[in-house]
Amino acid sequence: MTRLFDLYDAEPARYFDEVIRQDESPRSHYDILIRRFNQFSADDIRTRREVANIFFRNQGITFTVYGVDEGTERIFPFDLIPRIIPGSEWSTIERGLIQRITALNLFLSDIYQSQKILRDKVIPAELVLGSKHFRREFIGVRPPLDIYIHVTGSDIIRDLDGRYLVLEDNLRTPSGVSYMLQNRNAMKRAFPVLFNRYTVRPVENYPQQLLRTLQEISPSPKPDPNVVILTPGVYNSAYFEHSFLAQQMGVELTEGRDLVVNNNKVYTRTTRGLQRVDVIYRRVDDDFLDPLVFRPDSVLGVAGLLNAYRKGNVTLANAIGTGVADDKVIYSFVPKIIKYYLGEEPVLDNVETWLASDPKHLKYILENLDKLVVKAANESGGYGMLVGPQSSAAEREAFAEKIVADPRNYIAQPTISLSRHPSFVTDTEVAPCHIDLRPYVLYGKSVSIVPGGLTRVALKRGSLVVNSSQGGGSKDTWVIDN
Amino acid sequence: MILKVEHTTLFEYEEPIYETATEVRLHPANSTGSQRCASFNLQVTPSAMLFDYTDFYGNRVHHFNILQSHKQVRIMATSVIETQNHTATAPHEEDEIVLLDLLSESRYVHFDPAILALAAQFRPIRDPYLKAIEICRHINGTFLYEPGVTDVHSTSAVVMALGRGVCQDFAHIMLALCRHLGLPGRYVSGYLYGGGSTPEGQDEASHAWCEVWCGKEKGWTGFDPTHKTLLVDDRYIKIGTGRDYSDVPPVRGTYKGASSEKMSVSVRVSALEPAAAEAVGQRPKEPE
Repeated sequence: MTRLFDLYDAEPARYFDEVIRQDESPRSHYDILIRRFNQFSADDIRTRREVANIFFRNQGITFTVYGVDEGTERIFPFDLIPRIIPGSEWSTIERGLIQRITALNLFLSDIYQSQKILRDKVIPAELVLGSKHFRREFIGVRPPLDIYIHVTGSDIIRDLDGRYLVLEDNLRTPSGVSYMLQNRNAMKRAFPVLFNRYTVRPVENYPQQLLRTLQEISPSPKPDPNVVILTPGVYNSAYFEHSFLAQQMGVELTEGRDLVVNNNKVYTRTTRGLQRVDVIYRRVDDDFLDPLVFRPDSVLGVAGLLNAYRKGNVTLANAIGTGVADDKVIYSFVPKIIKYYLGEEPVLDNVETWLASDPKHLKYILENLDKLVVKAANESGGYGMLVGPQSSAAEREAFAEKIVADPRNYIAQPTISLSRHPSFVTDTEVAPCHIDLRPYVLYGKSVSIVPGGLTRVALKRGSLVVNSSQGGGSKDTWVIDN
Repeated sequence: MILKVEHTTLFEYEEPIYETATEVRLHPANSTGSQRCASFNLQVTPSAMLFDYTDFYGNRVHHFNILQSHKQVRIMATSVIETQNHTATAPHEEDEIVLLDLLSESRYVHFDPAILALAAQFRPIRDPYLKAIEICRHINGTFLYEPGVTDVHSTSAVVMALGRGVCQDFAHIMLALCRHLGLPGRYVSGYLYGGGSTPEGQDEASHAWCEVWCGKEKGWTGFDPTHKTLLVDDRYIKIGTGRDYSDVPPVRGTYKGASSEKMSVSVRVSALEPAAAEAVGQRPKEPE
């Protein structure tokens, strides 16, 4: 019988493979996993996939894809082979993220107060002032504990040498953490024996850690502050996650119409009258939060909410205006931001980035469009980007026009060959697929990270795009003790 | 001059509405060098608790909400302001980042091709003040004052294409030209005594103009492209400033309920004798 991994071709000379070394031998932390999967027959795999699928379906785990006409609710593809990160590697990632998020928070606190980093010309002021998500109206408004980014998810990739690099930071309303939790549940059900052969660090207490973080930032010290989640509603791609987290934390899931501001304080409408709200974990973008301040046509928000926030009568997580720090142009300055505020070298490096707003960089970008990945500064989810090596001449030409017309809004990066991991590309066939990693960082009184995160995988052969909206899937991520 | 402003805004609805939330920017600027606000009184019916804060631009903002159903909201602002012709003496100071921020486009101020073409003729003028006044003179001389062709959401690009508009539109055009030519500029919301917003001096007295940063020597200088006099003097009462109209609308609000809204505004600006100002109760202290 052919075993699952017998046909696995890692091409370790061309790609960094998470499982197979350059010399074609498996990395030791995958030994048990390979042995176990090699024992499985095609029927075993089908049975276990069915166990996982039933679990996901029963949980109603779906996401919504924008920009397609037909039924937009899908089950997020789940891959049965977990990714394993040794504890020693994880501690580097953890240290790097704590450093990075701490520095980015100091950056936000600075540019929304005294703007020292701009006055010291470490970052050109016009890049911050010109950022689409910079909210100058909230300069001088200080959130509790001076914390702006309570919940973040930075995307981490590995290059050819296996170095962990930060590809982008998501500092507004990052999603996906519910998949991290559900993938773990599915794996435990489908592969109970394999799971127990490793000492996998738990992720299950994330909802409790999130709740504690949200309680810590309550505007007034009270024993049991009222925390609610604010969702845009059932049509949002992450609605499942919003309701899942509300249920896991035991807090109310609200939409804009469920909240009301009276005399500068925020309340939920309940059958027993109005009930005061202290902290809102909002999954609604800044623009839609308050029709009185930002978009007047927004029906997702609450009129008067931002005045209550300004007054300190309610805390928003994340704070207003955090998007300026995950603008992809500002991203290129994060190593400088870390040095400026912490006086340290970055633990995790950035991906090399060229700014179209810099004339010299622009020339390089235009001359090398076929080799680079070009991204709009403020898009997410894999929208608004050009993957040079996979583009046609016509696509490159059209994109070049866009870049020249609005250089502030574009950056370019080398096409990094993301590391690969064995994944099921058919029911019974395992092949190498590109992956990344999104760990979730919580920042209340201190910074904490659940071990692991969401490993996203490009299940289309050869594809580099791991976003769920672009045909990606995910796998469970096991951080193990060495 | 000592001027009194009575500014009433009335919102009427056919059917009852509820949960209004309203922000007003009606408090005249205080201690700007050329202006002091001696008193300010804001009354809202149905009665509501009033809150206020100072926004990023230094404007005093009041806000309130009314939960229960109602068919009209009346907002009455009464203020007494002492204005002067001269401004404080040089050198003037302004934050470098604030100035930089006032060089870029904003919601209603766009650098469209027509603005770029028009700006070229002013580029040779070196002195910021002379440049600004020539821009102001040009707009005053070539744009036609005509109410009703634009609305509060018209961008400078739309006004450029029309060649017509009202005071708010002319201020946006001037800001686009100045900012594109490297002169920091801000929009001013306010009142004009005896003039109103039209060149002939009729109509209501709410008005809009702009201020341009003319260097440390002259500082922020007011220019009014709507009136032939071009320069701002003691007939002008400033409420507040912002990047454009969207930062300083006098009244902005939302409500719930299925009814259309009818808004009527009345503004009266009158001159008071010093003694009358005292009778209002808060005559400004004489400078020592």
